[in-house]
Parts: sequence; structure tokens; C-alpha cells
Amino acid sequence: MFPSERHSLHRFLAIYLLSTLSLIAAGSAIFYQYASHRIIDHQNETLKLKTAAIRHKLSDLHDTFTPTLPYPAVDGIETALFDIDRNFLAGEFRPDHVAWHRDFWQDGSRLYFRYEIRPFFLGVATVVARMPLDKTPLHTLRLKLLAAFVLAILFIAVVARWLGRLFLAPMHRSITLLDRFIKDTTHELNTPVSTILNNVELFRSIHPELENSEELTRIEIASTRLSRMYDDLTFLLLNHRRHRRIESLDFAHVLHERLVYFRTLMQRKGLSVTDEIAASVPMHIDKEDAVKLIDNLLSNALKYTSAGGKISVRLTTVSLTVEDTGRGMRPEQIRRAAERFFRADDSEGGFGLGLNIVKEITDFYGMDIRIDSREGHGTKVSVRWAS
Amino acid sequence: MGKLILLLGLTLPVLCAPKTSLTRCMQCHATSAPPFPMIYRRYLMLYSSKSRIAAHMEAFLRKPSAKGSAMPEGMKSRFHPQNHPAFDAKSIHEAVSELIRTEDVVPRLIVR
Repeated sequence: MFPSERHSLHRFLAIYLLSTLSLIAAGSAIFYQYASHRIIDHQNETLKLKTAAIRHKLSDLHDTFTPTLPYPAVDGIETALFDIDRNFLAGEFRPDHVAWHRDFWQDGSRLYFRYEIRPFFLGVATVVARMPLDKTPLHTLRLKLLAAFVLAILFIAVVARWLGRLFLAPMHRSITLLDRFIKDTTHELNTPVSTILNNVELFRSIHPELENSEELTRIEIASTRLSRMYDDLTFLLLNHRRHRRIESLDFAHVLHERLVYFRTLMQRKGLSVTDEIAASVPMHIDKEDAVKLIDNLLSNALKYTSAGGKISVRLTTVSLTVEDTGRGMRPEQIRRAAERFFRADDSEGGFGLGLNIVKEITDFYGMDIRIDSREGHGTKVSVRWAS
Repeated sequence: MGKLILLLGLTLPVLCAPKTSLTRCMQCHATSAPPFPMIYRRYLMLYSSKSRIAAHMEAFLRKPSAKGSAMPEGMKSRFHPQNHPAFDAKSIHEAVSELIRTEDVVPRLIVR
């Protein structure tokens, strides 16, 4: 699977799973509300039935004229008796609050029921009954819902992955074709470019009088540019299969070497170059990666800075900064600058691979990359690493 | 002799009982009129609260009539409430208060 394909699949999975899970969560919440209300309603009915039994007991007591009367208790519930003026008469508990406008209510973990007695046996007009809420069915319901939720997540994840792969199949075919095309092209490009460069060098050695020939120089620059494109493409294509030789090297020395090459190109374009390079910057890095990192930063600065502009290069023991006074980028272009094949300005050549290669290298070595740019003012790219 | 003992048995409790606001009422209600517990239960069943019972009892005693009586029809035809003697308001109020206090069922309810 290609990185872009994997990225798309992950985004699809995230959106699909999140939206589906939100929907399931909302559905579960509604179902839980409905089911829990049914459970509580069932318990309320039980409370109501038990409370109704008190009416007969009160009726019997009303016709009993003994000095003491046993309280009309009912098994499983507690009751309190009130007269028509809502005065508390007697009870197994004294409620702090009675919802006189409701038949049922709940207070924490207890269910309450208000029962009207007519006629008023023993003067009792209202019986307030309560019983503890049985939470076991609610716990069981929650467990069942949780289990269903987990199973739904697993099922949806499997379906989402399958769907994702199905949708991405055309994209996979296109990328494979493009990948094969680039491989074939780069392979076919290498031989002629090398031939041109070798022959330019040979031509110069045979004809020393043409050493400073403008035509030869143009051929050489164009071929070098083609050669760099080839290098970039092969780097990206073989990046994950390439064996890196990570060794201790002096990054300052590599930068000096690359600046010698780029300084000529920059001066030819009429750019002024300043550098501030630490004496020695030892790093553990593959030399090809180091060269690619430096070359792409300098190449971008060279490409996007007009004649008369300035390029400054600064290397410390923990960072490399390349700053130019070129055309700069807009904020949305900065965000996409490290994407593969993205070019901020189509008027310039290239495949839009430079910063993507830099990003791949910095990611591999755990370096931080920061791009600051203002349109019309220039760009500053900083790469930082641990000392 | 037997008749004398029976007469003494009926009148002695009334004569020997401590004088209260109900003493005068008991002369009839202990023998020929409906007993107080029954009257009180009847009022309880109809009016529920003590304040309402007191209000209705006092209204009846101020102006006794068969229509104003709260007792069931059978009792009305048997005891003729319209012949109930009328008393002054203060005596009525005191008697009703005492009746409610003595016949109150709430203290008798034993919660286990």
C-alpha cells in the first residue's frame, strides 16, 4: 500500500467509524432511555399494586374500636399517611418532600407513589408509599448495551476496512501505473543524461578553447538539472528499499562541499550568498541523506529567488537554516509545501519533490522542520535536531 | 333489687366521672344517642382533617337538624338529630375540641 493510499484509507476509516459510532451511540442512548423507563415503570406498577392493599387495611381499621390500632403496613414498601389538608398523620417514614401534583416520582435510589384514599378511612386522604429502586435490571441493561456496542464497533471496523479497500482499488491501480511509469522513465532518463554530461566534459578536455563556451555551459546546466531530477525521483522510489549507511560525519564539511557547487549557480543567477557555518558539526547520518537535505533546501532557495536577491545559510550545532528573499508563499501553500508533487509556483520547473524529500529525511532522523514564509518577502526553512 | 343495681350501674359511671365539657353530652351519648367513637369515625371518613371535622360538628351543634347531620340515614331516623339540644358556642367549641382529642385515632396507631 502506498503512503498516500494508506493516508486516504486512514482518513476514510476515521470519518466512517466516527460518524457510525456517533450514530450508534445516539441510538444506544435513546434505547437506554426507553428501556430504563420501561424498567422503572414496571417497578412503579409493582409499588402501585402493593400500595393499593393499604386501602382494605385502613377500611378494616376504621371499623375497629380497640384502644390501639396496628399500623396498616404492607410488605416490601414503606408508607406515610396524610389527611385532606396534607397534614402528616402517621407512617413508617416521614417524607421530606411530597410531589402533590404527581403520582410517581423518584428521589435518588427510591421510587415514590402518591395514592388517594376515598372515602377517608381513619381520616387518611393520601398515602405516600416508597420502595427502593431495584438497580439490577438497569445494570444488566447497561452490560448488554455495552456488549452490543463493542460487537457493533468490531463489525463496523471490519466492514469499514473492507469498504475502504474497495473504494481505494481504482486509486491503487492509478498510483501503481504512475509509479511504474516514473520507474520506467527514470530508468530511460539515466543513460542519455549521463551520456550528455560525460560528452560535455570530454568535449571540454578535447577543445580547451571552448572551456567558457556559453552554449556548452547551458547544455551542462540543463543536463545537471535533469540529472538532479533523476536523483530525486530515484531517491523517492527507492527510499524505503535503500540501505542507509549511517555514519559519523561532519555536517559542516558536507555543507561547504555543496555550497561550492551551488554558489556557482547562484552567482550565475545574480544572487548574493552569505553563510555562517559552525566549525564542526558532527552528526550520525547517511551521507546521501545529508547531501539530499542540503541540496533540496539550497535548490529551492535558488529556484524561487529572483536575480538580485539574497540567500543566507546558517549552520549551528543543532540547526540548519536556509533563508531567501524570494517570492515566498501564502499560508495555505506553506501548509502543503511538504506534500509530494506540490509546487507553490508552476512557472518554475521541477516535480515538486524537494521539500517532500527533506520532510522524509527529517522524519526518518527525528528532526524538526519549520517553514516561515511571507508572500513577496521570502522564505526561511529551519531544520533542527537534538544536540 | 336487680333493677336498682342495673340503674346504679348505668348512672354511677356518669355521676362519678370527672366533670369535663363532655359530661353533659355523655348523659345521652352514653345511653340513647350514638356513641362518640362511632360519631367521630363517621366524621373522619367524611372530612378527614381535624379542623374540617371541628368546623362541621360545631355547625351542626349550633343548629341541629336532620339535614345538617353527618350521620347515615338509618341513624338519623333512629336517633332524631333534629331533637338534639342546642348549646352556647363556647360550650360547643370546648366539647368538640375535647371529643376530637379523646377520640383521635392517630396516637392509637402503633407502627412496628
